[in-house]
Amino acid sequence: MNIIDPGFILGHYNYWVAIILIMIGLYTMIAKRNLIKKFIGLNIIETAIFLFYISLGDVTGGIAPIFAEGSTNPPDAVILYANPLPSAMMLTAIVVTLCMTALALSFAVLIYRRYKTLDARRLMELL
Amino acid sequence: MTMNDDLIVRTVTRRMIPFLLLFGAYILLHGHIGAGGGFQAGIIITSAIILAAIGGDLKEIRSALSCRTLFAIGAVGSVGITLVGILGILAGGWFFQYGSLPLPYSQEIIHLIAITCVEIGIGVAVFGMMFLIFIAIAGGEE
Amino acid sequence: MNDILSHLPILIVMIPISTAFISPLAGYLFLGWIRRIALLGLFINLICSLLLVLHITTSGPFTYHLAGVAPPLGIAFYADYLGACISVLISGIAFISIWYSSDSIGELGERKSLFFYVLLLLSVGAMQGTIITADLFTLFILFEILAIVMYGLVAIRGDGRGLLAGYKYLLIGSAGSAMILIGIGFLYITTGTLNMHMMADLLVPVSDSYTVLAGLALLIAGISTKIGLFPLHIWMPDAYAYAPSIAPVFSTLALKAGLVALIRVIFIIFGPSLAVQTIPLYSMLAILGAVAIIFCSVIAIRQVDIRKMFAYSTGANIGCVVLGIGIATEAGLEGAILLMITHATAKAGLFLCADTILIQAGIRYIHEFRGVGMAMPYTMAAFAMAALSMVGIPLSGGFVSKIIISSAAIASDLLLYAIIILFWTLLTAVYFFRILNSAYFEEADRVRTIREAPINVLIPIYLLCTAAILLGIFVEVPMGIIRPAAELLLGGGG
Repeated sequence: MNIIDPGFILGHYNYWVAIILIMIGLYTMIAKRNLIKKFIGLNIIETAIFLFYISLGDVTGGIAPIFAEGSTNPPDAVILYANPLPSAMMLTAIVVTLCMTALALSFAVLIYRRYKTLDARRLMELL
Repeated sequence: MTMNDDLIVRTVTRRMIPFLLLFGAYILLHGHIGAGGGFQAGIIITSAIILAAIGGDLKEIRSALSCRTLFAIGAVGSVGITLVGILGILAGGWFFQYGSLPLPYSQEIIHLIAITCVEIGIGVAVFGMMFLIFIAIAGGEE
Repeated sequence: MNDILSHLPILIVMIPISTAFISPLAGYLFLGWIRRIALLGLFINLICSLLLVLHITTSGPFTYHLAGVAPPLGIAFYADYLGACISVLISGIAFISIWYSSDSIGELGERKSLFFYVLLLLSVGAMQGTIITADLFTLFILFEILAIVMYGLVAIRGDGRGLLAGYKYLLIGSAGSAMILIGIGFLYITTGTLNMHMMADLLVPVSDSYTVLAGLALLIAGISTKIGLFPLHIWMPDAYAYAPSIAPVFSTLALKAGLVALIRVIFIIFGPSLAVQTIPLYSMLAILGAVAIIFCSVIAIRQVDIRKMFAYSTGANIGCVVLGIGIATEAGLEGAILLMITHATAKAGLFLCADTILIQAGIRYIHEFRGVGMAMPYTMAAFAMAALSMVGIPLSGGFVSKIIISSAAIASDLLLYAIIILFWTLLTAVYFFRILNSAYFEEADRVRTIREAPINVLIPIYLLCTAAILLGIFVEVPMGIIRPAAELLLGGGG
């Protein structure tokens, strides 16, 4: 498990994608001054987390964990299927993120209507 | 916002909505054996209505579905979900344990009925809340 | 399991949530009923919490399996001493504040007050779930529901500052919940389970791995954002200052739910594995807590807005609870839990008093308090009682919990922390006695027509403020359940 090993780096590319996306999101949250852009940064982070979780549940060669027509219980053959739990968790987390996004956007609409700006620095001076 | 003037937008919207609603209903009822479920169905149905609002007349739809009605719809859906869960307790099982419901069917059918009820509840709740959010953001009043 | 008592863990969560959805329906049909229905639901909830305490003290902690599926697959609720006692605290204070709320909601208008009650009830349900769940992902979901409700509560008035404070809270809080979610993911890939108790056993052999340590760090950082521990407290003053009427009381309660989650993560999930390895988590928490105490208290002295002052004072109290957790002995944990209870009671009382004074006299800045003690003697007396408990005058609730934490610090050879707590008492005295001094001993500079609050407002205020004092005199009542709670948590999570 040498970290410098290129096989290790390439073999875990799903984690690298998640890490890079999280960093992009963090940068957007910190560096951008527009309130909506800040929240989009957060959305990128959340998406990276969804990717991370869903890639956790994947099993090499596994099929989708759906109870297909005609399969019996217990199944005749051992079927290799992906772990459904991370996907189920992410469905719930997506709903949560959706609620937060909706809330943030409606706040942003109301803030814009009131102050005619979405610039975070100018707005935070008003607070 | 008045009636959308563009003929193409109006026509396409009018043709699309029935199919979207049908697809939503399919996703809703198919949720327990395949990909789908109440939340996704609720979102699809909401998007159909939002499409109608964008392509057609927002005012008309808002007068048909006021904030108050939508909130009530969402609340009814949520109460429905809770009710199914509490029925599990009343029937002597755990919360949300459908298996113990005293219905004259086999276990499998009871599960199916209960899950479908929950999915419909979720769908209705999601529809109410999502459309409420849309109206809140787009509607001019908060 | 047909006994209704065994269903209490789910009932205390579902009763507020279903009331939250039933009450607007009834509110549409019969105007003005929403508050009564909310009160009724919270009263039933309070009774359920008390029954849960009785049930647990007689027959011990128990698990509840949702839908009858046992933990590796299903979601479990774990009703232990800690959860039950904080559950009573939350439903009790929520009930009293909604009882108080009738006058103070008026500023919101009829339609918004309907949403306000719905959000309050939802937050109570989410808090009860947060403190009682044994499943890490359910904890995250309930945390999120709680957080979203809190963002809504802060901004519900719809004025500019409330919206800005809400947006700030939303950005910081969501970043915190993203951290919690990644942390849960790390722990889940290492152990393959989400149940706290199973995870605890599975983590012991791998507690040296970087994945587990990163998961622990992310979880603690995320929860610290939610509870506003010192470097991450910046959302708190604005959220407290611009939230309408009784919303800050619920915000205080939400912090308590977050602290319970922190205690669970540290002592149930990581209790066994921290015992076998040597990262300095406890001393780090203690240092953070101590810094929070000093920093927030010093800033509180500078505040002119009374609500911002309360917010910084809450920050200092959170610091002291974390310090008690960081001492990590049984006495330290007992003190921390007792401080959570006494602080929530006293702070809720203070908020209700400040809200009454704001409504009756329009006063929210500290220099305006001159002569209020003469004009509103009963409200100000209640305010003084709760303030004395916050400062920690002997015989009050705050005194006993501070004494327990500092003697625990001395017993673990951490004399510095005991001195910091003593110093904190002095700082608290400075900023509370400043208000009491100007309210009682300074003449009003102009004649004002301030009327005393009506009796139906004073009853709930007095319930909370006398409770804040009485908790110190009858300290054995809460200690009866706190002692086994601390014992169980330090015994490796049972």
